[in-house]
Formats: sequence, C-alpha cells, structure tokens
Amino acid sequence: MEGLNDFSVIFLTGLVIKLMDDYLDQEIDRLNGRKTLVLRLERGILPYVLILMTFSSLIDPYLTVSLFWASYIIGMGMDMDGNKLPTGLKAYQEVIVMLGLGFIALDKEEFIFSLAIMLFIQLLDDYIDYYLEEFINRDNFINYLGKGGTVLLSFLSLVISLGISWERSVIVIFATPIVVWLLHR
Amino acid sequence: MMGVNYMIYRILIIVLSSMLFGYLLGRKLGREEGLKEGILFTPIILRKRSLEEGKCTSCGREYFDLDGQS
Repeated sequence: MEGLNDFSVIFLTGLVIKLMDDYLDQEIDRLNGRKTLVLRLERGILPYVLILMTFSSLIDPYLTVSLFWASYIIGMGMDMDGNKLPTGLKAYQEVIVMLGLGFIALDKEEFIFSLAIMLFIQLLDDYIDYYLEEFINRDNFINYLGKGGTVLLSFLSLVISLGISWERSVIVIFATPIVVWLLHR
Repeated sequence: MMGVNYMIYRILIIVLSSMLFGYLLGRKLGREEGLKEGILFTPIILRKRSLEEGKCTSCGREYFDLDGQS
C-alpha cells in the first residue's frame, strides 16, 4: 500500500512538474517541432495542473510539496543570469529562500531525497537534450559542468537518493518516462 | 545489514564528490590554460598560414607577385 501511495504521488506530481516545465519552455518545443499537451491545450492547462496537484496532496501532502519544491529549486538554480523574477528577487535568492523554507517546513530527509532525485532527472534530461535536440536551452547543465561533470554529478545525486530511499528512487526513475511519454505524444 | 549499506553509500558519495571536485577544478584550470595557449599561438598560426598561402589571411593582400617582382 505504501508503495502504491508513493507511486501515485510521484506520478501525479511528475505530471504537474512536467506540465509546468512544458508550459515555460513552449518556445523551445515549438522550435524543435515537438507536439506537447501544453501546446494543444494552451490556457486550459492551468486548472488541470492544479487539480492534479490537489489529488496528490490528498495522498501525501509532504511528499508532494517536497518533490514540487525540489523541482522548482532545481529549475530555478539553472537560471543563473541574475535576472529579476516576478517576486522581485534574483533566481539564486529565491533558491535560498525556498531551500530554507523547505528545511523548516518539510521532512529534511524527504526534502534532500527530492532534491537529489530531481537533480538526477534534470541532468539526465539535459544530457539527452544535448544529443537529441537541434535547439537547446542556453542554461543546459552541460554548458556549465561539461559532459564529465554532468555524468559525475548525476551519479552522485543518484547515489544520494538511493541511499535515502531506494524504493522511491526506483519509482521516480520508472514514472518519469511514463510521464514524458504521456505528455509528448 | 543496515550498516554495510550505509558504508557503501558513504564511500560512494565521498568518491564521487572527490571525482566531481577534481573534474570541475581541472576543467576550470584547463580552460584558462587553453585560452592563454590559444592567444599565444594564434599569431604564429595565422602567420604560418599567410606565408603558406602567399597572402595575408586576415586582409587578403598578397605578399609577392608570382613573377618574383615583389
């Protein structure tokens, strides 16, 4: 039962994260000629995302928030140009605030796990993008760390997340391709 | 049993972070060195190519006429 709960939360939150990511990266997806669900639904996407989020919050609010905040922080951390965000803070300041809030409000171990596994997925995604896509985001991790650094950091984050909870790590690793396949048909 | 797993993870984390640290440091230093070397070598490479082709690589002016009248 525990495993099923974890799977549902990870799958639903994964959908939410991927939808948000697609929403923010619409231009690059259009350039690459990809067909994402977000491009088809346009404005209709927001209510669905929120509803999905409430479903997974009902099952396990802490894991949901952990995963979502972690993905937010990892995604933010990439934006290192020092641009001001809508909150009036710079990206790295927002990252620090969110990290602080996370460690105060959430289960520390769960939060570290979420950060590690999200970093792993992000790095993997960047690595794949680097080889498959014609146009990549400028803030692809490979541009900062190099190929070797990206591989090493992804192994490191995988080991950390496996060390904290190998069951959940495995669930995330299997849920991610399903989510991507569902949204990019 | 818990202890063995814990040890393995700890060792892996230490090894991987050391490798990552070394890689990133080496990458940074290597880039700086490579940039310096590139700056030093560029004029020599340009001059070599210019002499081989008989004309200036950047502006295209010919050094010598082929008749040898300079």
